[in-house]
Amino acid sequence: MGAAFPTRLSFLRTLMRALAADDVHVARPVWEMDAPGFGHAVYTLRFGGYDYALIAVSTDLPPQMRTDRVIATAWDTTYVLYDGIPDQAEIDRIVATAPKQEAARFTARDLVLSRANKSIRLFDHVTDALKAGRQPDPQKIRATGYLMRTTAVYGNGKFGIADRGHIADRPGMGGPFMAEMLTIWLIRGFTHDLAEHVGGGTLSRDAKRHLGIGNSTGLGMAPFLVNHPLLLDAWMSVRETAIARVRAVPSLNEDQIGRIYDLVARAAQYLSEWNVPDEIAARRIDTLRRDWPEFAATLTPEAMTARHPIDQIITDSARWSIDTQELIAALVLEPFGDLVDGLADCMATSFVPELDPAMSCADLKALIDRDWDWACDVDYDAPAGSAQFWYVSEEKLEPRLGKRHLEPGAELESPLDIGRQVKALADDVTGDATPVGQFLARHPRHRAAARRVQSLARHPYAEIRDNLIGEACLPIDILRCKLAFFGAGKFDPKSDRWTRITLAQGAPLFDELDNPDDWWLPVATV
Amino acid sequence: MVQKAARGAGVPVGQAEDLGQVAAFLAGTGDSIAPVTAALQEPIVPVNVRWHDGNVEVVQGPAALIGPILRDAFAMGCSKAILADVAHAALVGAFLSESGLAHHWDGATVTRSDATVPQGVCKPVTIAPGDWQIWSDLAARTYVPETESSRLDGAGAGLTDND
Repeated sequence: MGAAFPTRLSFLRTLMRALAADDVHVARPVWEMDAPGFGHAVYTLRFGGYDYALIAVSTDLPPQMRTDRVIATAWDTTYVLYDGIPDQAEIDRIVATAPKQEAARFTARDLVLSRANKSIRLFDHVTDALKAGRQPDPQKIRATGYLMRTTAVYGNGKFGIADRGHIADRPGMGGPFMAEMLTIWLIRGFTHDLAEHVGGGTLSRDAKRHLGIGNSTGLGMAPFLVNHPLLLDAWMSVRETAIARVRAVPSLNEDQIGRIYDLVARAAQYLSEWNVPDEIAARRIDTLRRDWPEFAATLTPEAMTARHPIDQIITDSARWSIDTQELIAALVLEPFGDLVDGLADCMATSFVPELDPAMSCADLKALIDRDWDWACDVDYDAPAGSAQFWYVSEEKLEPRLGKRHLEPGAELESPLDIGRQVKALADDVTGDATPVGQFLARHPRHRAAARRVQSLARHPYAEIRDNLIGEACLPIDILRCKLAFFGAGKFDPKSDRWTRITLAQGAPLFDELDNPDDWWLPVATV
Repeated sequence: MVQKAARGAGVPVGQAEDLGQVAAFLAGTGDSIAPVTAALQEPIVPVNVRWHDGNVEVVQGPAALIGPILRDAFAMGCSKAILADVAHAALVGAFLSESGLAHHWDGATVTRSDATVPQGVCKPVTIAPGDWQIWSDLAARTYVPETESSRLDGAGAGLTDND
């Protein structure tokens, strides 16, 4: 999970293909912006038979208030993805409330709430260059890769906005996080427009295409995956099914071989442009850079024309680092859209874990013995086994991670200690024919654990098989997995619990949806 | 929100998850969510149920725990359940309906029926301010007050990002 890369099944990629298939056109009917770039704008589009609009609000933010952390209370820009075309009253409402973010209350017409801060260094450089009548320095564009960073993208009912169920049945919106991804893509276009407005010039198409949208992501994503086990299972099952399908390809034609060679070369350039200050991450990228030419050298004409060549590539990849293995797995999916893209329809699930109360305790115990050794072999009474605790902060209602033996609040911890819960169940459950329902009537506290044990038996990727309260738990690994499914790249960890990333870098611009799909590991052409 | 409130009220995790789903079901069918609020305000005392051949009798227990138990009981093949407190009937009935089980009440006794079970739909709902306040207050019991250290370490980063 901690080495995941985006693939052609990542949600942004899926969205771009859907927008292109629907021949979506983005318009900008409102642009009320003063010379320094403060004001608001409205973008509209029709997708899957429904109208949507992004209302973007740009405000003057003092530097001392600019923080990417979720604890911030003011931002350079704020956004609402709106259900329909807003009239003036609705625009006025959103312009007044969006800058307040969590402190405001929204309506069921509001689908997504977001905010973004400028990358001051690059935004100022780009606008200064345009003011001087020239294009920005390509090196600076490559080094940062975005004009703004989103610091939160809220959907699914938060702060009064619409529940996901409100739009989940609409064409194009059924996949996971589609409304959020649409918002990200529209925000990215807005950042280009705002820079051109402030700079008074036009950015080159190559520069804009390489300017994605940055994002700072913290702990909030980790509890999401723990709390949506069947969704995690769906994502991973699709990924594994896709890999299995391409491994089964009997032989490659010349076009496919050429495509793989091109992608290997592109990945090498991507790795050379991926520079981060974090020492651990930088070492891992260095290993990738060393592995990659050696991997490339194995792709001889003989290997590529052998039987089941992808299967052989995946099998042989075990010799490389985990990061290199994951990069190879992502790469081999790329030439086979016809084989794997349809699987994206299976990445959303309306199901939730359900308890089978008629199962016998003996069968439940057998499942624990079979699937949960990683949880039951942990000593949760030892300081290292339960060193951390997850909680929700009173001030921002956001997930945090505390040190159990050093900080107050552990008695209020969030129930993300799945392994510990299942071990407690294992200690109490009998090995007889008593139905689980009767056992749980006597032991109500084990209900959640029993349900998860039964779910894992049917959904093999539903659990993060690690001690999430242990000393060694690194939330950054969970974040990276989810972000890669979104389509994020250029992971830039800032600690073991938050990371910067780049989204939609290389993605088509608003008027480039006729070429929606060739932007895996985007490299600079600027 | 109901799931968080239930945890704040001392309801175990699994039953809190169930209660959240039942609340969403009631909101989706347009039925009153008052039984949910009532359950959240009830003391969480130990459960005592007696299992008989084909039926189950509640001796003691709060609605938030009894609801899941009786839903399980019907799923295990029971055909009748008898409540200790008839005031729990509304919430227990919601648990049964949410799982698609048609049922009939005779006082504190519930049996299977052939009636049609309503389906919930996802739509904007308005929760009465009184209920919402109770839920919010209970949910707040699970929140951890901030310290300067937790501000800096708990979410993990520095305080400004002017780069």
